[in-house]
Amino acid sequence: MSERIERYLDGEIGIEDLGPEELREARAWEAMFAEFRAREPVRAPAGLGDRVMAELGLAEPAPPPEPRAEPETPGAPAPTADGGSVRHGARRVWHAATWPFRPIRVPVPPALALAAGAALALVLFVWRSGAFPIGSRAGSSLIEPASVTTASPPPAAAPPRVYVELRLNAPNAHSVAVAGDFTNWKPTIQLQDPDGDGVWSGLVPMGPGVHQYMFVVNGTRWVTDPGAERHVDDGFGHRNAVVAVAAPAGA
Amino acid sequence: MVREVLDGRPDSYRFLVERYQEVLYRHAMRMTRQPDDAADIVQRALVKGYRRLKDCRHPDRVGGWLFRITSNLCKDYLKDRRRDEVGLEDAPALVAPRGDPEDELDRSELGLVLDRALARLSEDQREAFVLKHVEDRSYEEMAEMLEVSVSALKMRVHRAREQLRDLLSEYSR
Repeated sequence: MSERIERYLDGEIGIEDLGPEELREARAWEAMFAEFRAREPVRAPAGLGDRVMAELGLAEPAPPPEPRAEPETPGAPAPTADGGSVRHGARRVWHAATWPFRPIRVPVPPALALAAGAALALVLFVWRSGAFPIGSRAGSSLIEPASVTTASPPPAAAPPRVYVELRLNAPNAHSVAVAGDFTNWKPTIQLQDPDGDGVWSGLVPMGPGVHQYMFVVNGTRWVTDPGAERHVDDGFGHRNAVVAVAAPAGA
Repeated sequence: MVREVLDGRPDSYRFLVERYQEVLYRHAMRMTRQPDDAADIVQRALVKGYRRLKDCRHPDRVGGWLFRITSNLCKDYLKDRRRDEVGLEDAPALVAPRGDPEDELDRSELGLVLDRALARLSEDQREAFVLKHVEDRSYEEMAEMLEVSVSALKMRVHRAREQLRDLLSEYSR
């Protein structure tokens, strides 16, 4: 094998650097790699996680996945909608969820960045009528939105939630889901692309704090949010996006 | 999450299990080609990971640490298989059937040949090849995951490709 083909297969040079003969050999290699990859998807057998927890003597039921949230009060918006298998009701809720809100992206001040250990953007949802309702207070450890409201006031016992809008430009995707520490890393929150422009988005409920998440495209491919302002290395060749969520006013 | 577990909330380990079991299983499957054995390896890796969690030097990189445990178990498995002389060549191909039956047959045969060739690589070469060309990782990612230098990984991948080319040439005769 020529050195140039080796370098091409290692990603060090482009295909335009290969001669015709080298190009044919490179294509043959790529066809072989594609054949190996074609064995996807390989899914872990159901119950594997349960067996691990049982062997460890920790076999309590898994915490319920938080994000497939129903509205917490009648009329309040649901944060998500099913993607590929959208039910009519869910889609209706999605529209109900989107129209009254306007996402505002708020840079986190350095104080918060340091305090949180990771800084990023805060995305809070405010009523359309609120012009610049979010302000920061010098010296405060958190941005305190003056008139921010969560999508629905939680019951007294429930933790407050803020709906964070997440977006991913994935024109060729069949589905895009969100998995994060707020879903036990299960890709249970489906984003939607209602107008088919390749931009998938959804409102994701999160409690106050710093959260990590990734997108899962077509059910198998984990993708880092390129729009996040901060990422952390997960030690697995991936970078989790990080988002900081401030508690809603009065929470 | 690691700190939560170590701080006395062992149930939080389930989060890590849910987060990483799929990617660990995919890798184990690609290394062993045996679904039951791959599941057993991942279960053992995750149990081992829990019991040794305090030894994880970088809790924010626990995924890579769990991967290395799984990787070592996969390589032990392959060595045992070689020792027992139960050739992976005998394992069924994992090519998913698609479309035209004739095409499926061709693909199955091709898959079988590729599997047999891959099975004859050393454990390290097989792992490096799978990560680079099947899982499409960069050398830098692989170096971080395996804690092996980029140059050593390049050498493994290069040798794997050379061997695959020779093996496939034999099969095609």
